[in-house]
Amino acid sequence: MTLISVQDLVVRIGDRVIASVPELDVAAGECVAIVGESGSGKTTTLLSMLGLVHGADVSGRITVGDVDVLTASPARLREIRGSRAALVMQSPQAALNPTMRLGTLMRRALARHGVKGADARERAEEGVRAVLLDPEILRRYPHQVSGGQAQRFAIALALALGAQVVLADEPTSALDVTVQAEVVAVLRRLRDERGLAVLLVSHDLALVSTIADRVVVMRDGAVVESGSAAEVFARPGDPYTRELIAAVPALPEPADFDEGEGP
Amino acid sequence: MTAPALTTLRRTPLRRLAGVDRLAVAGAVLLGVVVLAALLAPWIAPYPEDGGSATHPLEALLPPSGAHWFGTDQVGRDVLSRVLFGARTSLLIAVAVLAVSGVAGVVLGVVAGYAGGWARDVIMRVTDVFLAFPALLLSLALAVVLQPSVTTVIVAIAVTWWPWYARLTASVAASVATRGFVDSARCLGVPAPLIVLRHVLPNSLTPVLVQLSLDGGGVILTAAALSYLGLGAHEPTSEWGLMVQQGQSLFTTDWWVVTFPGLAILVTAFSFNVLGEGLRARLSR
Repeated sequence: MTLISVQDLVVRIGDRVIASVPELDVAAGECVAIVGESGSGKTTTLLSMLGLVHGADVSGRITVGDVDVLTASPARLREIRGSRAALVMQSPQAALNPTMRLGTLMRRALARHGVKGADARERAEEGVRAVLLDPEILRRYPHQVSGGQAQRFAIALALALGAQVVLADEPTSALDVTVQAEVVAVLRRLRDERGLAVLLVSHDLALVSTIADRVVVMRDGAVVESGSAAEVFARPGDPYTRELIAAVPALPEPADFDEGEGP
Repeated sequence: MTAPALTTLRRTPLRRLAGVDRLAVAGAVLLGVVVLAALLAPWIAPYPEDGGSATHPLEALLPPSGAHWFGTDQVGRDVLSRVLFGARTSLLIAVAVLAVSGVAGVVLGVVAGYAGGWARDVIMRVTDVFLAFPALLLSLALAVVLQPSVTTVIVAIAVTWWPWYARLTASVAASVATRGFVDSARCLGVPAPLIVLRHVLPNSLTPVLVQLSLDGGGVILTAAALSYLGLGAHEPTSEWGLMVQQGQSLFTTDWWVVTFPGLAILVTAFSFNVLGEGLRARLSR
């Protein structure tokens, strides 16, 4: 089942094309990674999925579920943000309001999408357990949790809201290596067990190789190569992709990142 | 790794009180005394009726004594009683001005800071217009136009005070608006008014609170100045600025009439400043 479908997406500021994606589909239970260096347009592509690109002309066609993002009303867009597709950001703690307990944040987010009372409490706890956190964490403030916990909480929030797609923008680059593995393990498990779709933006090919099913390589706003992860890593067709792969010291085997409660 | 751990260990409540916070505590205690004096004035003043229009011509201008600790004024009223009642007037003015200008400034500032664009331009240009006038002169001009009264003082000062809070809040809110949690709220479908209320506002308040407590003293001084010039509180209201004005010509012969209300202004303004400085040190750490 295709959850996100992009056709002929072009994002322009003035005459400059900052992202151009002819075709991109993300299906349930699939992880698609967009890789490329800074400024290659990968984050812009990700943000355009929720109509969050401001100050630029966006053309083409983006559908999230049955919603046409580029023609949807602002109210409809607010409705799908979080509940259909939820964003997980690069810097987990900065993404949490320091004056709000995690539980309050979760409860308000759920209320915004029409889930209240006991139902909300249940979904909050269920979401938190699904990312292997203790529901006790809901009573804490953001400065009382670690980066890895904050990032897993962001994923829990997406699950509680019923999001079928997680849009992850460099979700692990602000975390240290063991914690990265933890977050990746959680994403993989949710993808395999619940059919969660993950659209991942990263410049970290080692990370991408451990989770992505398909890879889209972007450079200067354009897609230079795309295909299954195995194919792209084994036989990179574009010289730029080869450069990117060569820049990674040694790709660890996916087995190194296997699940578990830590190292 | 060891250094931060040590600092955490050392930051026990007692240590905190003994450190920078001593300043804030001293200010809070001093201000607490003034607030208590204001609240309890009718009960603790030795001659409560002297807070108003009573006159005792036979007891005029008595020097400080056991019966009148601060002496009596030119119509025989107990100066201590009037200083205690004066605390009510001064604190009422300070609280009212800070509340009105604080709320107006913060609301406009947070909208300007978050919205940016034309909304910010309009709000900031309006504050610039107000800031272009010297504050005391603008207050004076307003007080001259309105009838002299305590309300006039509050309005006249609040009008010149809010732009500072608007400016301060706008700059803080603009930086808060770029932080990750504001983006993530937007990504969760939170509409703009709620983002401002729940995410930008609570995280922009700290510097404004510090500024408000620092400004309490300034408001009391300005109110005293307006009353001193005859544009604020008038007889028989007990007001420190008014009392200083009435007593100044007697300074060489009957020093107590002007000295005690003057000291009251000094102590109150000082306690606000010390509290504000202490809060600033505490919160900027």
